[in-house]
Amino acid sequence: MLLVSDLTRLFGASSANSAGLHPLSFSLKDGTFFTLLGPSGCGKTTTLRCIAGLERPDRGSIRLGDTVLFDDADGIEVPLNQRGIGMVFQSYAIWPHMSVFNNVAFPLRVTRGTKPSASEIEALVEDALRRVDLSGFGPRSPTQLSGGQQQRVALARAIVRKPRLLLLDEPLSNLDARLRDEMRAELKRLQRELGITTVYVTHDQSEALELSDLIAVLDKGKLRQLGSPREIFFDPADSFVANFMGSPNLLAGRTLADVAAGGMGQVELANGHTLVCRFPRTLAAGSSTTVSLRPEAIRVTTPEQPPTSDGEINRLDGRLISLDFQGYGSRCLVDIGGHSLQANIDSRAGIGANAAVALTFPATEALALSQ
Amino acid sequence: MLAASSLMRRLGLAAVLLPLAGSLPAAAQSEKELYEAAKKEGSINWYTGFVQNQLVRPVVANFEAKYPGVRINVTGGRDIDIMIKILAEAKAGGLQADLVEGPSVVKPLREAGLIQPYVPEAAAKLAPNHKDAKGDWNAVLVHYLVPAVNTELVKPADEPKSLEDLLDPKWKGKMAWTGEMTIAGPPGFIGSVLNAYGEEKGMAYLEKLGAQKVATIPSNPRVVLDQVIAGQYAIGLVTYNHHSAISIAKGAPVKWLPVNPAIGAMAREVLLKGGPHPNGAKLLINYLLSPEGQKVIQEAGYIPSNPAVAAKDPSLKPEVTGFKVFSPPPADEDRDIDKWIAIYKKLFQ
Amino acid sequence: MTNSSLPASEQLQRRTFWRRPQGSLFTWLAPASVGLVLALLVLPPIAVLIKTSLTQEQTGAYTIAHFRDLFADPQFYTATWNSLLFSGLSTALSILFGTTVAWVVVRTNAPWRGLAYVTAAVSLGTPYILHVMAWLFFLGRSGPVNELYRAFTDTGGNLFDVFSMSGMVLIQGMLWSPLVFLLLAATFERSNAEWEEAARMCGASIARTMWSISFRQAWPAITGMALFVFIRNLESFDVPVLVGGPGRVYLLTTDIYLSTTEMPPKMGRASAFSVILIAVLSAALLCYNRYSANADRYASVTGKGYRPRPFDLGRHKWLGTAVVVLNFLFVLGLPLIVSLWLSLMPFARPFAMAALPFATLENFQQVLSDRHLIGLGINTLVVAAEAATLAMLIAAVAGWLVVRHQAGARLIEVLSSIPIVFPGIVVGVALILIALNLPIPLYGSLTLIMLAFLIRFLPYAMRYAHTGVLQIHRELEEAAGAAGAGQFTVFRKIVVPLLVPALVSGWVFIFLLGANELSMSILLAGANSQVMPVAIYDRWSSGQNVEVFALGLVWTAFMSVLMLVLYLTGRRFLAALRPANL
Repeated sequence: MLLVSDLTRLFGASSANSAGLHPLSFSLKDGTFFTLLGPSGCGKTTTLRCIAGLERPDRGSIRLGDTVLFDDADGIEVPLNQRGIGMVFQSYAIWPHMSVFNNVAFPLRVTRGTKPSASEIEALVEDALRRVDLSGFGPRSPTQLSGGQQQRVALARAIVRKPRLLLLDEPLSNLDARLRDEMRAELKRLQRELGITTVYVTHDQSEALELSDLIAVLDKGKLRQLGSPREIFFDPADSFVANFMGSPNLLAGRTLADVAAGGMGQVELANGHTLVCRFPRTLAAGSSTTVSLRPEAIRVTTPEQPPTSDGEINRLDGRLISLDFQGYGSRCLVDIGGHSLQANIDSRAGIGANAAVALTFPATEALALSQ
Repeated sequence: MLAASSLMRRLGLAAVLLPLAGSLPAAAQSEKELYEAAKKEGSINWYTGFVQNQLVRPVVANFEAKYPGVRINVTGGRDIDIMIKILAEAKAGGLQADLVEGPSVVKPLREAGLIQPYVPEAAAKLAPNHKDAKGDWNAVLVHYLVPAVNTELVKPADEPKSLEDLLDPKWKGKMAWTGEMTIAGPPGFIGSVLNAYGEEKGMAYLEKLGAQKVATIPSNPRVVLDQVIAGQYAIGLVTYNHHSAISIAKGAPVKWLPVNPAIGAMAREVLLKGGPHPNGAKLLINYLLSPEGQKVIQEAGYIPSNPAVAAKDPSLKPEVTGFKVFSPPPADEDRDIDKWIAIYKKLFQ
Repeated sequence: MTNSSLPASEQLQRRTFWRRPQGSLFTWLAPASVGLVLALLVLPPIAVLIKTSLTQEQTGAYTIAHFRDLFADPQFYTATWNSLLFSGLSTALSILFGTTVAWVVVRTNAPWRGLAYVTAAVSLGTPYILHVMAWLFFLGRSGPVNELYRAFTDTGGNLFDVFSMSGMVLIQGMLWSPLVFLLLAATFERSNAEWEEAARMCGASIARTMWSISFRQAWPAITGMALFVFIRNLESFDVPVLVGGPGRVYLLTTDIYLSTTEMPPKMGRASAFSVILIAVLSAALLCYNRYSANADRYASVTGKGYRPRPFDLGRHKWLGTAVVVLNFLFVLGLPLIVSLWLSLMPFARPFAMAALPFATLENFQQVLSDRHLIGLGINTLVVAAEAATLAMLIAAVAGWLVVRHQAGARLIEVLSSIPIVFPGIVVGVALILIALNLPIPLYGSLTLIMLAFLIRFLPYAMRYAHTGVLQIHRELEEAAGAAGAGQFTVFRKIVVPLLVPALVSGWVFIFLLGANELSMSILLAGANSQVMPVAIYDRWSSGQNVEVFALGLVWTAFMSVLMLVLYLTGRRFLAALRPANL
């Protein structure tokens, strides 16, 4: 179990692109794949480096199992090399002057208090290399490897001594798209196989959704939301999270009456339309509200379709501005008077640009979020 | 820019030299004419191995006070460095030096054809062995080179009294001398030993001295004496006795020893042929030999060459203290010095 | 965090060849003119040395007698062996010392680390000859080391004879350690911190990380540096002549110098010596090039903006501080204290309370009232500044051409690295020979000294420019090209501004080398072209030892102030110039 509480790290005013870290707390059950997600400068790497011991937090505590790694109140700071954590760096940090075998064997050779024999080392390294699909690469020089292979070496090195915690700092960001997909699957398989608690840092929400058991969305050093991929995706806590999770349609408006979390209520948009929305969080009457609508949830039809604006279904009329062919589906942009909405449309529906259209979507798909 | 200015100077120099070359015999100028001509030249490039803060500065200060408008540019260093510069300048066709002096400068300069004979009026007062009949050189001062000891390291009873005393094992590795290959350095010492003992016995002595591991300091005898004063070495061989006197006056723990034979050398002033400021150079030579210049030399603690001007410390002179001097005539010195240097290299390098 | 760094595989392959489209005037004019200038600077000295070494001095006839005499002379083999021994040992000492200090300063949290930079900067502004003279006194027979030994042992002997190989090695090793420190500090700063962090995460202790990662990683740089220092040591002059001379430990450089200072100068022998020394150095250079090629192999620049967290030495912090303070004492403190003591004495006296009443400011008065002093200072600064400026100008273009594999790059690289095998004394000999045979009056002019500096220091200028260009991501230039800029515009608007920090560092380095250079100036300075180190040497060798220390101190103080001013204005200038994210 990893327990991080009130972790705070403040940078001087000069570090403009790192806002630091405001008190951050979370706890992970063993075997959790945990992702720190956020845009650049949100504090996710700082958090990771604090856990690793590469940076010293200003306040807070970090516990791994029953070991206190850091606690400012008690003045405890376990040196990073005694934390027993595996880490993969963004640049992989494969030492070019050692062979693949020696790179992977390094943790076994230097760990304090253990002195594995040569044959033990060999067996463990072979096992680690096999797990990352690099059997037989031991004698090679890392400089002869491709980026993906270097990545696997870094992974093998991180897991070779079976650490309690694995830290991954944007490990896939240096790979090309095809390799990235491949490594994603690989990473997930490996993590499940080893059952190792993992903290993963990325700014790519699809990576986070696919890999994680638990996601923390960070912005400017603050935790915006902590939850499962489904929660984060379907019930974003606020407009920032919704936006970061890929919702392009954010409509500004005002909540008409108090609505409790999980309830349904009405939001008046800036252009006067009123939508029935689901409220993942409690909002008071009159508070500024953003309505998030996923393009996939919107049905685009010709206006002749029967109007079905009841409590379950919202309807908005508008004009189709543009249409981008994407195969079976097309992405279209619809002007609804003061707002543009993105929606998906069947490419064979026969609706062309400039046509008048009706947009319908279930009330449960319209999320009313605080701004 | 530098090259251009130097070229201009050379052109100007040619203009000054041309009318002079044919018409004027060297000694026929009055002092006033010489001063006027020197003023036109503006400066003098004096290449000198004299110790700057002992002798050069007072000479320059007094000369420039007496002859306003004529500046002396001093190029210092070891005699050997100075000679090499002069020879190279001459070879490059751009001699910058006007006059130079030293114990062993005459031979190489004569071979290079760089000596402009000049017989100053004041030279008449010099002893015959202190000047060249043709005017190739004139001695402006004389030196006596003797061993010197650090009085804090050497008890009076232990002071070497003779050349033989230098072979005492207790001095092994505690003696030093200069690396200057002149009569005022190891070659002169070797010459004096050979002269005193004869060829065979002399060589035997020198071999034994070689075993004493005398340190060669790559600088002039003043530096050797300074190291003796500093206690780096107990004994300095071949040091100027007037340097010891100057330092004793400042309180230095040093003493020069009238060990026989001392080496007699002199600073032979040479006017260079083709230097940029011949008139200024003559003016300076005249000044150095004049009673006034000799007084400055006397005041500085050196031994003037004009017998009429006494040394500040009369005991520096052999006739006062009563030590013997090995002072080969320049012709002999020129003949033998290469042999002495060869012996030095064989036994001491 | 989103700064995308290149995939590692691509970083490792950066050295692959790549050519720009040919055609613009700049594309061939730049290599052609740079090549010509380099050839004119570099080739004549070699030619004249070879010619002189094969010419009989009196008759001018062809002869191999100079070489034959050399090889028949047992002294030659002794000198060669001494040179190798001296260079090897002093290199080991300065590398060991400099590397340790650099690592402590750059990668740990030991207090007082900044002192090391001050030490190095001031020490580089101090003429070597002052260091050497001070060390000679300190370690000399009457210096405190031997005095203490005698006081405690009652033997009357000496603990240490400074005029010996070990004395030379000690002094030379100390002389060079600040430079090793500065260059390696830069290497450690540039090094990939993630490599070290990864090792620490793997459980390695600080010591283990240092040994297995930091030093291994810096190993190519260290060995490259070692070869470089070794070459410099083979070429060195000050210590061999001042320390080895009295101790009768003769090296190749001293033998060259002695040959030129015999009467008459044996230029043929000196040239033959020089040619052989150049051959030896060329062999060393070949190894050096092989190593420096390897050194670049590990070069890796990550896109991460943060500085690596220094190692926490914890309770052993004071040990790091001790290293820094010791470095200060050896490299700067002791020489300065000794110099100060001697400069206050009427004549050289050992450290002793008894000598205190003798203390006087007379030496400083003498020095400061010397009207030659200002002229000397100006000469020195002008020559050094001219040489540094010209060298960096040439190197900026040449370095770029070489790194970007422009036409003629190989030739330019070879030409510009040739002078690294020219010991100063050899350049001096060659330029005397050249000046003596030229119709223009170069001999004895400051221009000649400047030319000598330029030739000698070109390889260092190239080193700075080369590294500087390597750090400019090629895409920055390609983007400018894509934006429509021509070759020359790309060079002027993109390369030069980004190169300025490297050029400035190179300039300062060469300026300092030039301002303290002795071995070339000693042969080339004339009546109107005296420079400070020569003046110090002249005054020392003609017996004004205590005054020389005063002169040296005044000059050191002046240079330190100048360096401080340069540093402060330079920092502001660079800060203004440097784009925010570079």
